[in-house]
Amino acid sequence: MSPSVLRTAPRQVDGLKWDINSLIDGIPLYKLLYGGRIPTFRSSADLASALIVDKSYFARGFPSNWMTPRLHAALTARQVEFATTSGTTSDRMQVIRKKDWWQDEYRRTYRYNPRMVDFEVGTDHKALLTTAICSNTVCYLEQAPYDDRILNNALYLNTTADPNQWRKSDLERMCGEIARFQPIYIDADPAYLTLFLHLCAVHGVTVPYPLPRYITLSYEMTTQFCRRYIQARWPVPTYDLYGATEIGYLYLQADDGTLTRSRDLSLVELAPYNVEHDLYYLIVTSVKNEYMPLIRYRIGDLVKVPGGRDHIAAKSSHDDVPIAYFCGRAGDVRRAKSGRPITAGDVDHALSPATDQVLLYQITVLADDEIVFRYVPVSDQELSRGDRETLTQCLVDIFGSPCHIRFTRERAIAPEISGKFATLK
Amino acid sequence: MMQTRLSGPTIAANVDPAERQSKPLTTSVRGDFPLLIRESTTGRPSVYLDNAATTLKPQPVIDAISAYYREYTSNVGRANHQFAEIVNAKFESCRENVASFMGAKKREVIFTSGCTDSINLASMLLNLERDDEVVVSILEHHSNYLPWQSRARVKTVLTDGTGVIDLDRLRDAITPRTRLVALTYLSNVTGNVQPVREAIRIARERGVLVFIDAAQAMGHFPVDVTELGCDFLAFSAHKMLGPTGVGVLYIREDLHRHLRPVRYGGGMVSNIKHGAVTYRDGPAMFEAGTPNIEGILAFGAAVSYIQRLGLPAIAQRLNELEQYGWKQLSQFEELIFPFPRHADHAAIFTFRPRSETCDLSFLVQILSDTYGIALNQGYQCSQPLYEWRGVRGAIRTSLYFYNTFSEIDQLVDGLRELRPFFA
Ligand SMILES: Cc1ncc(COP(=O)(O)O)c(C=O)c1O
Repeated sequence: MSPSVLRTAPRQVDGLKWDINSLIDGIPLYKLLYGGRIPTFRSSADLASALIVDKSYFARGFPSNWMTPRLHAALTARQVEFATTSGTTSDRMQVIRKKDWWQDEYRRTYRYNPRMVDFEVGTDHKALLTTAICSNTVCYLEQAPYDDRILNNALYLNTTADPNQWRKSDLERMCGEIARFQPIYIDADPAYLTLFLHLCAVHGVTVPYPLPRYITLSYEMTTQFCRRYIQARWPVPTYDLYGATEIGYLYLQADDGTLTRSRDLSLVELAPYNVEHDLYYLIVTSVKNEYMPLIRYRIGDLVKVPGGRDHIAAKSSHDDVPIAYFCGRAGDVRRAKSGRPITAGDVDHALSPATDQVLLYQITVLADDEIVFRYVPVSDQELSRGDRETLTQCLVDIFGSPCHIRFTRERAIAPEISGKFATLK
Repeated sequence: MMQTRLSGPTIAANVDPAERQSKPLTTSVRGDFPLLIRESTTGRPSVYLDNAATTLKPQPVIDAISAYYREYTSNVGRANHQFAEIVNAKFESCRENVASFMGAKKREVIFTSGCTDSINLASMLLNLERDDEVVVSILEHHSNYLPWQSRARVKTVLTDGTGVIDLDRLRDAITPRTRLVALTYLSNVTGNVQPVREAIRIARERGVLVFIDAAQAMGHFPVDVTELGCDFLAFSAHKMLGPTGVGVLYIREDLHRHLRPVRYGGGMVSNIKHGAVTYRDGPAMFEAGTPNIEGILAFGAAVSYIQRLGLPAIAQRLNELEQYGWKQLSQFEELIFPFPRHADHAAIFTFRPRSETCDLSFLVQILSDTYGIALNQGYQCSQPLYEWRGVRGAIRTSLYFYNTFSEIDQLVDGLRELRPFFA
């Protein structure tokens, strides 16, 4: 998608804490974007004159589009590290940043949660349970030994490409490693942690004690089913943590469930996607990565902001606007018969009160009035007739009638190429 | 079969003007490959330089697969209805065609599911025992190493200073326990063409059977099994324009009577009476079950396509690409070519930055996402070779006849711009 001007400018009148113009000075991508006439950004209100840019634009022409003498010098001095966002060739993005950039980002972010503020990044033990990292420099796939998977006192637990394939021995290994490493904090992909706890129960593998002091759920949208399942088995404070490789973190949940903006070096705007249904694009200006500052980046995710119009009008900054929940990718939005947008987040919030017997699910809209609800049940049973009826009613309410819902119970739902699980396809 | 020619402005744009005059082969064929004329997402032409992994498919090959589904679906060798007649005739004419392509008799061509499958099948047919010795070279793909290693004692012969198997060492490696010498014709990592003729002569003088892995050679230059005098030879269709899931195992005819089938199923027996089985002779004895019919028909189309262009012309074109590629890539002082380039060298270049810490996968991703260039990175299923040379992976660029000088230039430009990443 090409850059576009956002019509409704955020009402932000404060002075910017960072000098955007000097940060983007000399970066070819911005010169190209503005044809050499880069606006002056003195206050955040000035950002309204900047173009909104999608990932495909930022990803294009890497690295020359970002090359400045400063970056060149840092590269030559080997002061940088590389990363790639998940996705296939057409939507992945290469990122170059200062070495150990995440360590700083963790420090910046954890401060926003009173419980996590004490976590000593790099010293205290943290374990990660998500897709197995595999690049040319590190590969945690297959039999990477325990010691090799500890980086800055963070232990990477998973060594399998598809968590559905975890065998009893994998679960025992991971539990053994948790017991040995004693992380006080676990950062997990919600679907992976759900499967981990579920499969441990199925295979009779004892999950180690003491439990971590807290958990963050990151990497993909947390479904309410996963959250409930995790909380029931691991009753420790569990926080959603929202971020991405190219921007770092933007939101961290608090004990009362509200999402706190971790505001350092970034500024969020909520751009209307569908105001009537309180859906907004998340747009971020992030200067956390000095070599790749992203000005008005449309991440592609949607958020639910109840009463969004009024909130946005009342607050001086969109950073202060309370977000109810994340709705997933704009690209995954479906339409109800009425034309109303259906997001993964909305579906999830509508379905979760219906039953607690669903572990993972995936909804496929086959034709206008034919929907398949694939699910992995919590117990070894099919969903009861009552549960199916309630779910059917929820889905009909969402998609509109007539609508035929087919339930199929699955042993496993395969992750996407990125390793993440799609709930709405 | 009708050959669809897709031509458009992109083709002309992709071809160097100088080449357009002097290299009719490239210009005339590019339009046959849908992937070469597709618009790329990078804003630059897509450049496919991972041909040693698999080649692109021309339209006649794609058409052959769909014609089987659209026009005459049938099993083969099991019926005589109208469709079956067509399929039987086409299938056997493919075998004939493949046989003549490689200088074999039709009866000597056994269809398999790929080169790896052919090697595994041969290793089973040979009925090896644990103490038997199989001599291989250090250059072998895991496919021509593991099947032997799982059944017998493997002896590995190193290369000489020029990058080809050391023939003196090969001579020394053969003992009375040696059942087989199994060698690659052309290394998929170094690109060096091996002196297989001499190796075959040495083995035969000692009464030892020879197996040739021709995965990288077939379709690149003329290969004639009769002239070579090898006993077995294997290759995959997909590395020479054909589909995946099809391969060939050549077995010299006079060996057939010494071999017993190792896979059983339909299509391989002439009769079973009172439990006594009479096997059909020829390839049928080794091809149990329904084969990959559409794949084999498409493979036939690939062979015809290559024959139409002519292997000598293809070989010449590859040689020009090799010369130009080497001239352009060897300019980079920051790159090392860890394996010697032999005088007889294919258009395969394997290199890596001098810097040990350079993240090759990241580099290859940028070359793909920004520059539209498909390359290979890692160990190319040849870890013993990398281990021996103490090299921690490399980037491989491998060309086929449809590649152009300007595509090599596009790679060189990309590398030049990425210098800060590996200098
Ligand atoms: C020299 C060589 N031998 C064998 C093979 C295995 O071929 P396939 O994977 O098609 O069975 C390859 C494939 O790269 C190869 O290059």
